[in-house]
Parts: sequence; C-alpha cells; structure tokens
Amino acid sequence: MREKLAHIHVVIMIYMVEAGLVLFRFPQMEAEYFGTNGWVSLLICFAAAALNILLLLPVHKMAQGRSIFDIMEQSVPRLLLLPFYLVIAAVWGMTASLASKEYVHILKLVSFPTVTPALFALAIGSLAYYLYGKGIYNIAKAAMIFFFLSAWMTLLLGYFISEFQFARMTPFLFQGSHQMFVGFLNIFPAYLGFELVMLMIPYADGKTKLVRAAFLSTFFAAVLYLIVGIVCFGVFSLQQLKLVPFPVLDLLADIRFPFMERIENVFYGFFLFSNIVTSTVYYWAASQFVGRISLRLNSKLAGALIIAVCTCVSLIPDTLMETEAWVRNVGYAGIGVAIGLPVVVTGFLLLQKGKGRYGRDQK
Amino acid sequence: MAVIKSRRAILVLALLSLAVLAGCGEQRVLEKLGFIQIVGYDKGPNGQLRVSFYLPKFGPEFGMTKGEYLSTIARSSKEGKTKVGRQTNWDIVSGQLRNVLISDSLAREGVWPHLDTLFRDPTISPRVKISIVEGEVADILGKNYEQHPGVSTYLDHLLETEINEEAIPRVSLFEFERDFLDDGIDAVMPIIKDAGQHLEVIGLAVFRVDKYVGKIDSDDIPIFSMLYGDNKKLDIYQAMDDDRQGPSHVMLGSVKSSRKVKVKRLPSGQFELELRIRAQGLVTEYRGDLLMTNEDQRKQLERAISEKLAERAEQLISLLQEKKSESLGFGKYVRNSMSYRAWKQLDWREEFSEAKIDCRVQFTIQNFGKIR
Repeated sequence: MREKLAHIHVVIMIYMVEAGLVLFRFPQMEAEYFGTNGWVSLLICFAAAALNILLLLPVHKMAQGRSIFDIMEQSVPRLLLLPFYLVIAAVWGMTASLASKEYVHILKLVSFPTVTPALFALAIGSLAYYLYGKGIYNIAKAAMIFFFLSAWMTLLLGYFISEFQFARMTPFLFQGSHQMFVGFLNIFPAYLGFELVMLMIPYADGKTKLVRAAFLSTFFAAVLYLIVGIVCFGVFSLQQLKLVPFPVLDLLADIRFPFMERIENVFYGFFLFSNIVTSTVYYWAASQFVGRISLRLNSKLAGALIIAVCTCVSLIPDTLMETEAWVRNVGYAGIGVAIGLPVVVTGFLLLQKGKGRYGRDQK
Repeated sequence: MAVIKSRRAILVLALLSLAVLAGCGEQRVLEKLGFIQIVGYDKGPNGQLRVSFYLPKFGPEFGMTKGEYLSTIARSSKEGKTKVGRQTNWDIVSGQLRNVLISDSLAREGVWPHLDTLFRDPTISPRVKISIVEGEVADILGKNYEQHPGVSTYLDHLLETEINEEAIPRVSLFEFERDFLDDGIDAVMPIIKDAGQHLEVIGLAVFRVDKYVGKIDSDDIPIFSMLYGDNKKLDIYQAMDDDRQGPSHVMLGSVKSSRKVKVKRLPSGQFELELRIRAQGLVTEYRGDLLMTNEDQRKQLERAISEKLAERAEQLISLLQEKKSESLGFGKYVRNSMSYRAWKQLDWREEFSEAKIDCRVQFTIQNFGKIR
C-alpha cells in the first residue's frame, strides 16, 4: 500500500511554510499601514485566510482522491491549460526562491556584509533540492524535525514580559493608518501556504483531513503572529516600530546572556530551518505543475529545473529593497493563486458533476 | 552502481567544500581586530565632532588592563572611525561596542543626529548603553584609572552594577530610541563624571525631545525610579525632621514600589495627575526618637517617611515641569485617557509644565532589622 501523509505531518509542514521570514517584517508593516494597535490587522488577515481555506473544502470533498490536474484536464485539453500551469509554477517557484533570497539578504545585513548573496542563495537552493529529492512524505517528516529545532524560540518571547507595557499600546485602533488595503495585501501572504494542500490530495487519505490540517496550521501561525505582534506593540513605541525594518531581530538582540554577546546572530541561524521548509514545499508544488507541462520530465528533473531557473531569476534583484519589492509582488500573485485556483477547480468539479448527472439522466 | 556512488561522493564533497570555502569569504582574525568598546562624542571645532574610541588590547603581553585610546576631529562618527583607522595597526570593528558616551555640552544641543549611525549599523547591538559625561569624554577615555581595570571594563561593570542594583534605569540604544520616538515620554540617560581616581555616576540627565535639559542628582534617582515605574530593590536615604536627639534620618533598603497614574482634566482645561505610589521596604539604618516595636510609633514613622518621600517626589516633578521634560512618561496615560485626535492636537509638554500634580506615597516598613 502506498504511504499516505499523516495529519500531524501536514499540520506541521504547512505551519513551517507559513511562519517563515515574514515574522521578522510584519510588525513593522502593521505599524506602518495600520498605525496604533496594528497587530489587530492579523485577526482580519486570519479571518480572510480562514475564508480562503473554506474554498478548499469543496475541492477536497469532490475530488475523491484525484489530483487537481486530472480534474482540470478532464474538462479542458491539457494544451490549453499549459499557460495556466506555467504561471502557477512561476509564482510558487519564485515564492520559494525569493524566500531564500530574502533570508540571505537579511543574513548579509546582520552578519556577513561583504559576502555575495548569490553564493548563499545557491547553497540554500542545493539544500532545498536535496530535501526535495526525498519526496513529499520525507519533506513532511523533515519539517517535523525542523519544527522541533526551531519552535523553542517562541519561548524566548517570555523574556519580554518585564519590558512589556500596556500603556505603550494605547487604546486607539488603527489611528495614524494609511493605505490599509495595501497593508492587508502585504500582510496576508504571511498566511499563504495552506493552498498547497490542494496538491497533496493524491498523497492523502481520509485520515489526513487536509483542509482541517490547513486550517489548524494557519491557526497556529496566527497565534504565533499574534503573540509576536502584541509583544512588539507593547515593547516598541509606535514610531520606533515604523522606523525599524526588522523589529523581531531587535527583540532577539535585546536578549541578554552573560556568556555570549550578539546572540541574535545564532537565533537567526535557526530560522534557516523554517526557510528551507518553505522553499522546498513551494518548489515541490511548483514542480508538480512543471511535471504536468512536460510529461516526459521525471519528478527529479522537474524539481531540478524549477529550482535552478527560479534561483537564477531570484538573483536578478540585487539589493534588499529590490528583493523585498519582488517578494511583495510575488506575494500579491500568490494571493491570486490561493483564491483563484480552488475557485477554478471547484468550477470544473461542479461542471463535471452536472454533466455526470446529465449523462445518467439520459440513460 | 559504483559510478553512481562515486558521483554522489563528488557532489557531497563539492557541497561540503562550498560550505567550508564560504568561510574564506569574510575572514575576521581575532589578533588583527581592534574592538571598539567605547565610543565618545565631544564638541569639536567649527561644528565638527571630537570622536574618541577606546579599544582594549588582548593577548598575553597586554593582559586585560591595557587599551588603546584614539581620538580625532571629524564631521561624523563613521568618518571619525575611518580617520582613526589610519592611526592604528588594528582593523577597527564596532561589533563589541558596549558604551556610548556623549559630553554634556554636545547633548545640550541635541543628540539624535549623532546617533544615526548607532541605530543604522547592524553590527552595533541595540543593547549598547548610552550615557552623558559631565566634562569631556576624551578626558575620561584617555585617562588611566590605576586602581581599576581598563576604562571600558571599569565603566561597563560600573554601569551594569548600578543598573542591576536599580540605582539607575537601564538606558541602552533600544530604550533611548523607543522613548525618543514615543510622543508620551522623554528619554533619560545616566550622567558620569571623572572624580579623580574614579568614575562616578552623579545623576540622571533628563531630555526634552533630544536635548539634555536638566539633571536629577544621584540621591534623587530612587525617587525618580519610584515615579518612573515599578521597582524591586531601591535603596533610599531619607533625612527626617530633627528630634530631641538632633538630626534624624532613616535608610530604607530593598524597597519594592509600584505606581498608579490617574489622569483628570479640570474644568479649566488644566490636567490633574494623581500619582499613587505604594512602597514597602526594610529599615536598615535609623537615627531618631521613635520606637519601631511600638505599633503606633511605627505607623507614625511610616507616615513621616511617606510624607517626606511624597515631598521629594513633588519637588522632582516641579523640576521636570520647569524644564518641560516629560521623562516620567505620564503622557502615555494622558494619551490613553483621551481621543487620538485630541491627543494629536495637544502640546503635552506645554500642558505638563502647567499640570497639577497630586502625589501620595504609602510606605510600609516590612522589618527593621536585628535590633529593636
């Protein structure tokens, strides 16, 4: 019997995909776009993500174990779907490669100012390829181990209890905000990752409960974001939060140990784990589409191709600012895919259901 | 099969070498580095800065007590670093910076523009402590305090001890930046002075925006701390009214305190701040008439101490009102008591300088030591 993904593995894997580098950036975005108590915007984004996850429900229910490719190709010739496949592969492939690129750029900022980011990006690309080569079951198991290697850092937030002040948070909601919709679009991708469960349908059975897993992991990510957001708004002053691009790095830097200075460099290193999971799972998802574009490509080759091409493309943005702009744009496209893909697949499923019934009625 | 294995081995070796070779990209050889541990800023000629650095020297020939003092006139901190780099054989790095010192004369003109590099440079930790020096920073860094280890270790330990004992609040780059950018509080910094053979923490500098405008004497810092927030172990010397034996005083140790701020707006538009401080601690020294074993007399002493502390607190607040420095952060409570728009239209520093302050302290003696 073929191995199936376990529920807990999917929960942890999707959680690791979601709770990545964005942790470092989002309190600043909340302060900038939403102003006072901007962390509340996370709840709005979570509600939106939960609604988005609901869109996956009919796909999961009606697919009956078929892959979304089989579903779509049953209604539309594969050739017509190719551009569509290509776009999604590009969006997810670039999400993966830019996540690594951004990690490298922050690493350059924090620890290695003179090193070429390309070298690190290539190294992370190779690591992602090695993990990718083991297949989705093993990626999920690796994600589990990586989770335990990095999740303990959440406990560090307890360090800030003494520094936390409610008075600093103010009772105002979203005052001093501007372009809140843009802010929403920038923060919402923090929750993206759940949409990948659509591709896991053939690798799951009834026990995997994919949609429930997607919801749970998004819920856990939301709890983590919420804690980090609240801590940041109670420890930083609002204007300071707007000024500092990576508030969580500064938080980590504030942790004092008698035996070691600049401990944040070590902590940042641990985030590589979640970064690699994010990249690998997105690469895996993108490679599924690539494999469908050219049926002659085997899975390893499809993965190697997407990782190589996307890593090379991710080298185009040279500076941290350019990389962030690319990350933002790919994030917007990612939102489109997360909403659009389940809607389209559900549409096909309904169409097939209708036709099926029509056929039976004719008999 | 063998071919596949050898191919894989080559790939693994290539990846390993990539990982190892990455270390050659940016080498930091300890023996060649000069770690700045203190950077100091004084006013220089023609609107420039005198930037001073203190670098400890490591190695058996130096011990831990020696260090190198470098100083130059420059337009900015980083230009100063580049300039002193030409005077020394070390590769100067900022990653181990522990303290920033600013001369009082420079701080009176505003410190924010000079601090940009400290916030911007990612190699500099937000934990770096920042203090004011009464006099010239260069004089302290260039001096050899014979009874103490090198000035960087001495200064750092001095400040850390004072912070841990709650004799001064912790003011690092992070706290300064936070309070400077918060519209409900002004920043503070400890003041250090060269006292001949020693360095001494002589008080707390209070700021209006980024300008040093007033000084709280070190004797009054515990009172400031009581007004500033919650405390766990303050030591307070309190002079009492003379009694039959002559001058009377009490020393309070391990004082725990918490404050409450209530904001009211009087019909005239003036703000009234009700401060309620509850404190409890030990009597570690007492000279006076009252017998603490007698409950009535002990209560009497507690009341007298409470009144004296409240009196000092009000004097301290008057000083801050006079200087229009809101270093106690009452503005955060005022802000939270009104609408956002009303707060934005309010000139809080101006209002604070005219606010009515009602400060009451309730002190409880926990015990009075081994003698009755």
